[in-house]
Amino acid sequence: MSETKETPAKQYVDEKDIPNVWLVRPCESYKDEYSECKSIRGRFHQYFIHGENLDCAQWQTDFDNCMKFRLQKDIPALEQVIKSESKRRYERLAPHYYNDVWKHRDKPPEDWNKPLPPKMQEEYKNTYLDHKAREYKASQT
Amino acid sequence: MSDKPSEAAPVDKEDNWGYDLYPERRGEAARAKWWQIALFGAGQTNVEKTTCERNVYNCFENSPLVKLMYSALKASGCEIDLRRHIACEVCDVSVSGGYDPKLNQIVVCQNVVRNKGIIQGILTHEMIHMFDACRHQLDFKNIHHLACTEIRAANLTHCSFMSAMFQGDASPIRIRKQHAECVKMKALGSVMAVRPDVTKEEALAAIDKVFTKCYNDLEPIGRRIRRNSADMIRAYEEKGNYGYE
Repeated sequence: MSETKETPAKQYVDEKDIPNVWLVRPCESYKDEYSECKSIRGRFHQYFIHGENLDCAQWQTDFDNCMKFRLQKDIPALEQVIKSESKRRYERLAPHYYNDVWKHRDKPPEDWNKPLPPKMQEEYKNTYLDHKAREYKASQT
Repeated sequence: MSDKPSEAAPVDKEDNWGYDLYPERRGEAARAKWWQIALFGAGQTNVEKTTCERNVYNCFENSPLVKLMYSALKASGCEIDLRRHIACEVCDVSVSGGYDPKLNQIVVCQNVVRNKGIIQGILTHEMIHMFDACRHQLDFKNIHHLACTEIRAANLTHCSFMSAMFQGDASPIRIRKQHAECVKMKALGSVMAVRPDVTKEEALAAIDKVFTKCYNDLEPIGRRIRRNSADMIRAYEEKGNYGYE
């Protein structure tokens, strides 16, 4: 049984049932991102782009919570990590979806794979990339 | 850009759009002059082509950024076929690579780039254009669309501090937030190369109009890579969280 500071809102039989648990990365990733964020070169990079230092504390918090779950099976800690990753996901994807310079497509362009002019196709026969492309296609079936 | 002989087809205004930089794509095989062969060892186009193709394949096998872009494109329904979507060709020496929207092909200039690192940059840059064309209704004739995709490509694949310094957009006493300036200038150069009919002012106006939205749209890489760091690998490792598995 885990020693938790608060009882979890819902009892999970298996941690795989927690919603969005797939968002959680190996704990080492969080430590790595924290080191990068705090490093001198990382700081320079932040200053060059944003004009200021970013707040690195969240990476450390995520690492601590991730390890708490790994070592003590602390479910609320895992939920905190999931919450943090969800926020990160939202913040990263929002500018992409709100970029209205262009309209989104429902499906990919139909002519994505349209055949090349016959002269080009002839030139490409037996080239290195031709062999590699066919090798790959064969490995997919 | 058609594959009819240039005397027969009427010259479309679009034919003047920077595609003269890719002579092999207008149906003329590249032929080196005698003195280029004698003095510079030029004319080894087949060997050069195969070397270029091997480097390209190497990137798809080993480069985290190229692999990330490949996964993102595949997940978006636009899988890359190495033979169909990539071409190694002889180009004008002023360019190192490009994207042909009409044939939907990335062109890598075999006579200009021989270094795997640079090819990685070219592939990633052009695959960002493909990503935008795949997911959005990208009209390359629309100057704002072109500006946006060039801003994104410059943002995600270029403009380290060192390259910004070389370009003149940053210096040891001008660092703060200069990344955005570098991206703007790089995008300007790209837009003007593709659209020689557009003036610098028009191009800058288009870039300024869409800059904020496009500068902050970081998909699918998700971060501005710090050169010589593990950022490329980090971006690759987290791709599953953003739908690019």
